[in-house]
Amino acid sequence: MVDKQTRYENLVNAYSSWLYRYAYWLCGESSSAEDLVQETFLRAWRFMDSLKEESSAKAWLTTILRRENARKYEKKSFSYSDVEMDEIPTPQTDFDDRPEVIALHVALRELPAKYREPLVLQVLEGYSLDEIAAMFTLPRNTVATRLHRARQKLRKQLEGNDKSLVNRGQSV
Amino acid sequence: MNCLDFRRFRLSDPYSTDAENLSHRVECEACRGFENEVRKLDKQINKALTVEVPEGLAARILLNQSLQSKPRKPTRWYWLSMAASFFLAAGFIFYWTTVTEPVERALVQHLEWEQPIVQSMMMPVQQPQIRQVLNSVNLESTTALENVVFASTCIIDGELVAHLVLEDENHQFTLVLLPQKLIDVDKALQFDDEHWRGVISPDQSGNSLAVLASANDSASFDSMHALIKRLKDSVKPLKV
Repeated sequence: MVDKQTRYENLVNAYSSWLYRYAYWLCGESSSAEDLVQETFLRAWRFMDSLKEESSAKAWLTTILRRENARKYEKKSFSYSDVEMDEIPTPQTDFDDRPEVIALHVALRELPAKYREPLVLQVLEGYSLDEIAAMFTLPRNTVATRLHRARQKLRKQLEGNDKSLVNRGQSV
Repeated sequence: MNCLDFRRFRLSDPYSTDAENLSHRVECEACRGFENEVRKLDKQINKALTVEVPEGLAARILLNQSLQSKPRKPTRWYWLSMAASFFLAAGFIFYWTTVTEPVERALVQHLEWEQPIVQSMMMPVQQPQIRQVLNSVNLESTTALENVVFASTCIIDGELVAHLVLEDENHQFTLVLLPQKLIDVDKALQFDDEHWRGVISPDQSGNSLAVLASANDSASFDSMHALIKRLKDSVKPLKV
């Protein structure tokens, strides 16, 4: 029988990277993403006994992370006009910096959260429509529509970027 | 399935193995091309989403957890609170073993233990989640259960049960639906604990329904009986 500490360490080793990536796309910033993952795992430690099936651990952690993020978001309802310019963090640069990847990165950031969240779960981790619907407590069709719109918006945005690159090339 | 449906479907699930979808794919070359395009887009998205994970993240999480769970040096207050907890626990054990019945004791113990988690997770629950929770304990509802703010499956006395919380303007009711008769008597059992009041009632199909309210809530036993009656009318064993 594996003890609580070992179970916990296994969870951290297995899922911290995935949760960090998901958190990054939820809050859009690396230090906030790490804080969010830390808080998620602390809460998970407190409620480890309520995790009965190891197979549902990933969905359980994802749900805790989403709730922690919602809680933080509620607390942090300040106006952006209150923030001094020098307090704004420099843009994240720890990813592939080829132009097409950056264009897609920007397009993903601009995608409304309700479209981006299920897309991240599906593309990055292969969650099925049913699993996402259960996690978000939404009807399956709603999730399907959001994913459909997410991809449609990304396609349109990328097509727009291509055209503007071509136009810029012609004018030079 | 026509081309429009196929494309709509593929944009929501590019790797689905749905039979109708696959057969349209075989027949239509243009749609095959479209699918390849979507899958190519997904590969690009995957690449863009894969941000680098900070080095040593797992180690920092484990360090944080070990610092949080490290026992602090006991203070005078610590020993006083330990003594108080001991007498309180002794009081509870005496109370539970002498006053309350096993079924409600198990229920109350579970609710007391889970209450902080439930309180922190309360938010309106959509019908599919309620359906999923009921189905997990082989039950289904013939009408929509309204005002549900928590729905989950739990284990009480080794049995999987559905645990729901209903909230209206005035009261908050906890429902526990057990797909097994917990009490032998045919009529409802009513109890009034220090922290919880409630009604447990068996039904014809071999289930037990419990409705509880916190002792601080002014909900009457009549309102609990009424809720049990409504539930018995709508919650039935799952038809396979």
